[in-house]
Formats: sequence, structure tokens, C-alpha cells
Amino acid sequence: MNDKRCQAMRELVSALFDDELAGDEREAAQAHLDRCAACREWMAQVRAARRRLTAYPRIEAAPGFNEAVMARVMAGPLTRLADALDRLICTPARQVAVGIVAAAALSPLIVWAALHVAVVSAPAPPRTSGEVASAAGSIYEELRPPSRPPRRHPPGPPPFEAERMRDLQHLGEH
Amino acid sequence: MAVSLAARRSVDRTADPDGDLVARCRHGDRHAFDALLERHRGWVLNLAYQMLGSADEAQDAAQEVFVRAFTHLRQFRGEAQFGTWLRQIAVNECVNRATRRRERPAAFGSLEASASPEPAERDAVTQALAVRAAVQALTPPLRAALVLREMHGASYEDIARILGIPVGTVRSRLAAARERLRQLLSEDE
Repeated sequence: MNDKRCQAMRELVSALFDDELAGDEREAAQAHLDRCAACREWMAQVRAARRRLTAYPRIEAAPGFNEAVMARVMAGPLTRLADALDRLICTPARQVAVGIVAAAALSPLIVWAALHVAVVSAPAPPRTSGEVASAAGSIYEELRPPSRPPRRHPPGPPPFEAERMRDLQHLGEH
Repeated sequence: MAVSLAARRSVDRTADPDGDLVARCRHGDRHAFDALLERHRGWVLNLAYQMLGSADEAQDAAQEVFVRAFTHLRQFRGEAQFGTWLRQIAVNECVNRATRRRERPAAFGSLEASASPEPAERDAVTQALAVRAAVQALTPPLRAALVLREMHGASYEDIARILGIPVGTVRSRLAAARERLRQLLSEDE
């Protein structure tokens, strides 16, 4: 029997071995096996390999398996999403790729925020001559070195509290 | 090992042995949840180990399978048995992990008894390691078909449904997986 024909028949022979063939295909596979010593030998070797599969080691559940599953089920979708992302970026190459993508995705937001802060914190341009003079003065004040140390408030109640206490004293005199 | 086609079809028609537990689980019954876990934990774990070759990764994958199953329990409509549905989730999870993992080397770990002084035990461990290495040498699609058929007794029809491929492709993948396994194990002898 030639090899090419045998290669083509082995799918059928394999399915016959599993009792998954019916009708004409079953008859053809059986007839081929009856005639072909090479395929019978192949079948015997496949059967031996299958027996060896029973030696595949078995494992038992780790302690706390059920509790871990329950905890993950109860943790909710956000935690599971975090777990999934953690698995997704498990290699350094992926971590770099995810970092680049995240930076690219966030960069318009960062630029917008920076512009927004710059516009909001910038002083409005002076409109009248008085405002121009005041602005110039304030710039001068900022640039001029301080001639004396900044004034410290004496310890005691804040101004509002002091005013209220004066009022109470005043009412008490009447 | 192989059950006849007709017998398997008759099994599919029977009521789902997990139906009652699934219904109770949907109503938040913790005991039903534990009972389903106890019933299916062993084979899910070992299917993951057969697919991934690493005990640690198998534990993690099996946990993930149950988390997915329980969080999507409402999507289970009972068209197939709960066990079949769970097997589909398990195989998908493991094939995805095995495919992703091809980028980095697998950590198979070691078998505890490998240093045993008993010759018979040493031989058994050597056998187990050889078989595990041969199965892990298959590509994930071939491995999935072989594991489902040879280690979990799935029919061609079930394998086709689980892997989302035609029955003809199941047939060709199984023949290819067997041929590769035969070569690998005969090299080992």
C-alpha cells in the first residue's frame, strides 16, 4: 500500500478507532486496514501511545480553592477587569506597549489641562490707564526687594473674633 | 474508553444532573455553589493541567473558569448540560492561555517524587514526565482535541462544538495529534 494513500486513510482509520465512523466511510477504513499492514502497525502504535497517556500526572486542588473562587466571584467586575489587565500586561514588552498606548491616549487630555491651567491662572490684561498703572505698580512691588520683614499678626483671636468680643464688651457696658 | 455514538447521544437527551444545583446557585445558594465546585473541580483542574502542563497555572486557570461560569450563570440557558458548558469555558480559557504562553517558555515545575529511591516509583515519574512533555509539545489546537478525546472521552460532535470547528476538522486534528504523539513517545522509548 502506498504512503500517500495511507496518509489520506489515517484520518478515517483514526476515526474508526474512536468508533466515530458510519456507512461507507466505516467500510472503506475497515477494508483498508484489512489490506494494509503499515496502517495496522500504525494503529497498534497509536493504541500504545494512548495507553501511555494514562501516566499523565494528576493534581489536586490547592487548599482554599473554593474560597478563592468565591472571593473572586464576590469581588465584582472591576477587580476582575484589573486581574484581566494584569494578565494581559504580564510581559515587559507588553508593559512598554501598554505604557506607550496609554501615554498617547492621555496626551490630548494632558495638553488640554495644561492650557486650561495657563489660561485660568494668567492675569487679565489691564483695560484702563488706572489699571495699567496699578498693574505696573504691582509688578514693581513684586520685583522690589522687601525693605522690612513681613508683618506678623500677634497671637490672639482672629480679627473677626476680636471684633465680636469688643461688641459684647460694649453691650455689657450698657 | 470510547463510548458508542448512539450511547453518547442518548446521554445528551437525559436531564442535566446539575440542573437543580444550578437553579439553586442562581438564587444565591452558597451550598449549591460549593456542591457544583466539588463536583466539577477535579476534572476542570486536571483538564487545565493537561492543557497547560504547569500545576500553578492550572490552579489559576481552573479558578478563572469557575469565576467566569458563576458570574455568567444567567447566560447558561440549559441547551447543553452544565458540565458541557463548563467544559467549553475551561477549554477556551486554557487554549487562550496556552496560545498566549507560546511567547514565553512554559514553567512545567517538577514532580515531587523524582528523587524517590524506589526504582518503580522513579520509572513511574519518568514515564509521567515523558508523557507530559509529549502532550505539551503539541500545538494548542491539536492538544485540545487530543485531551478532550483521550482524557475526557468527548465525542467528535462535542469537540466540534467546544472548539467551534467542523467535525471533519476534529477528525483531522485528532489524526495529526496521534501521529505526532506516536512519534514523540517512540523517540522517548
